[in-house]
Amino acid sequence: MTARNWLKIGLLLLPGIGLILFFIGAVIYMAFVQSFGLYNLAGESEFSLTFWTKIIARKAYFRSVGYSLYIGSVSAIVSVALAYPLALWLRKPFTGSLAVSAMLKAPLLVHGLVAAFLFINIIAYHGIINQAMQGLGLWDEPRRLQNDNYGFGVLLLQIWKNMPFALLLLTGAVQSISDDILNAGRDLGAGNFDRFRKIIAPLSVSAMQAALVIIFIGALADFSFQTIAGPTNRQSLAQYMTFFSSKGRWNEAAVVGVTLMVLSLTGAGILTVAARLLFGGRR
Amino acid sequence: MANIVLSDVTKKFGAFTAVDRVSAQISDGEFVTLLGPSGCGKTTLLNLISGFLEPDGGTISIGEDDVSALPPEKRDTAMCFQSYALFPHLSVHQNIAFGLKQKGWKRSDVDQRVQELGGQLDLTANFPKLPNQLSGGQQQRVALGRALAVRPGVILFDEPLSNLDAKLRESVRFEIRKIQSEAKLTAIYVTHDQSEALAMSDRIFVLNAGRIEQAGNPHEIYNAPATRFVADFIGAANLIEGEVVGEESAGRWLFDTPIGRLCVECGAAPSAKRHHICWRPEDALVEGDTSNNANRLDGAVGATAFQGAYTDVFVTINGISQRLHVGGAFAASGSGKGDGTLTFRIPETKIHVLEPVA
Repeated sequence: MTARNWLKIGLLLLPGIGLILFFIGAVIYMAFVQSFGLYNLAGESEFSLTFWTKIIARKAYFRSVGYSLYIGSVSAIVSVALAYPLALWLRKPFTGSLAVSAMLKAPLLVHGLVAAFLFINIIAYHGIINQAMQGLGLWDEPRRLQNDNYGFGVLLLQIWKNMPFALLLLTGAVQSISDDILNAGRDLGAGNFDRFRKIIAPLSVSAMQAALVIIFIGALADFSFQTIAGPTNRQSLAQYMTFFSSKGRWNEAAVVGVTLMVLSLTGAGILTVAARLLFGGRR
Repeated sequence: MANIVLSDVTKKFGAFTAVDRVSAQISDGEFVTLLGPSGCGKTTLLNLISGFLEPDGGTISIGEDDVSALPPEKRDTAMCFQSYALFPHLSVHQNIAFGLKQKGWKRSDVDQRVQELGGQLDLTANFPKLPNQLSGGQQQRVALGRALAVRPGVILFDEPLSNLDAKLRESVRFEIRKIQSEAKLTAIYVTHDQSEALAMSDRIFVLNAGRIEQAGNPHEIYNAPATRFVADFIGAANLIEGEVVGEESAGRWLFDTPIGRLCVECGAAPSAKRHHICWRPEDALVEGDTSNNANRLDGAVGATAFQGAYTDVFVTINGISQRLHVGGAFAASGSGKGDGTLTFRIPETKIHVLEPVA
């Protein structure tokens, strides 16, 4: 391709991608330099490692990192793991498959905050579950289900919200695998699991990677589900960042923000490579 | 032993009966072709034998075992698909090795077997390539190698040559037959191409509307069609109705037909007053043989079509069009009596009595 063509393509892309790159680039740059004391909103601007040193010394920071990675990776893996069998089930149309598919994708249309509050209504101290369990005589008194220490509530919400997205991506990929290819696998002795591992997963690995990465990044940076239904003994990175910013400690908030970005990138990279190594054939 | 026994095998899709009480026996090492038009049930029957479909009635046995309810992965069969169905993410080597790995073969044994097949099918140079980097013929050979690798008792072919050009189809056809007979495999081959069926098969099952219309070796099927459908589907045939007039001499029956009175030599007496009868275009004698006046006919020459080794000539007798193959080039003006009519004779032994007219 000639330089003229490259220039033409560049100029055509500039209004779309250029704008995105500019804004994202500006945000990344600001967060990065602020974490080192530059562009200081409250005080002198000078290069310093103090903010990083102070944050790294905090136990809460590492707890936050661990917790966010846990929520991000478990949400991504479980969402994709649940979406696969559903995508395979819906691969061939059957009576009512359209309705089932629409119902499964309905959470995509419900705002996360609405879902979180509905969930709280169900698991609250005087919520539906507690009342039902007492009504059935299984529990003597209401139990505390909200804000559990292991983040199960957040995971449940993340998976409920993200599984349909994974399903959306995987359905197309799985539908593109011909019956003959799957039948050939069966014919050569591959049972259900081997057909998934050796044929379906490698042929849909790109969709799997996309789903894993997008869900992971979203769940890693979760704020709303965590604030409403998350554990009270630890904070997600987004929550931790807000904690600093609400107190006007922008440099520390920037350190947490940069951490979040680095973890997003690294985690996404690891999930992509892991999916390829585990399932990916050559394409 | 990989003989196959089908007993009253039936498969329905809703109200449509795709395979209707089919019974047949296929011997160990036999090459059988399921031949029929689209929708006749041949692929459904193949899928029932391979296990991709479960019969609604009847049983399927391979060897001594009733496999009717066994899934494909548990059957001693391997399938060559019409689309080849090669795994697009695996190399040629990995494709051929797939079934062997599934069977838990040792790596060294897998490599040895794949090399062996690669040499046999001329694929060794293509081992590192992906299927989409191969030509149609090469992909077909990989599919064949992948099926043969597992040394199945029965190999099933679902129109494997339909995506190849005519020239390649012919060479692969012989290759398949050679490999099948060398490996002494029982083979079931589905096609709607009659020339493929005639060239390759030990026996042909002609299917129509889910039932076996006629089973026999290629010579029987071609030279002694049992029904109008078989006569019409295999090769070209002139089909007419005839009324039995009487027995001229032992085994020679006279029929009144729209193209004239015909004498037919048949083993058994006609079972009804009116029968469908047929004769092949290539059986008509146009020149010579003046000694016999039986079945001598005059027809007005209509359309002709040069086919290389012969010319298709359409003649009209009493308003009925009949087709003849005349050797070499044929010029209507310079042939026959020179008045646009052609005299020909149909040997008595070449006219076949089919089913009675309903």
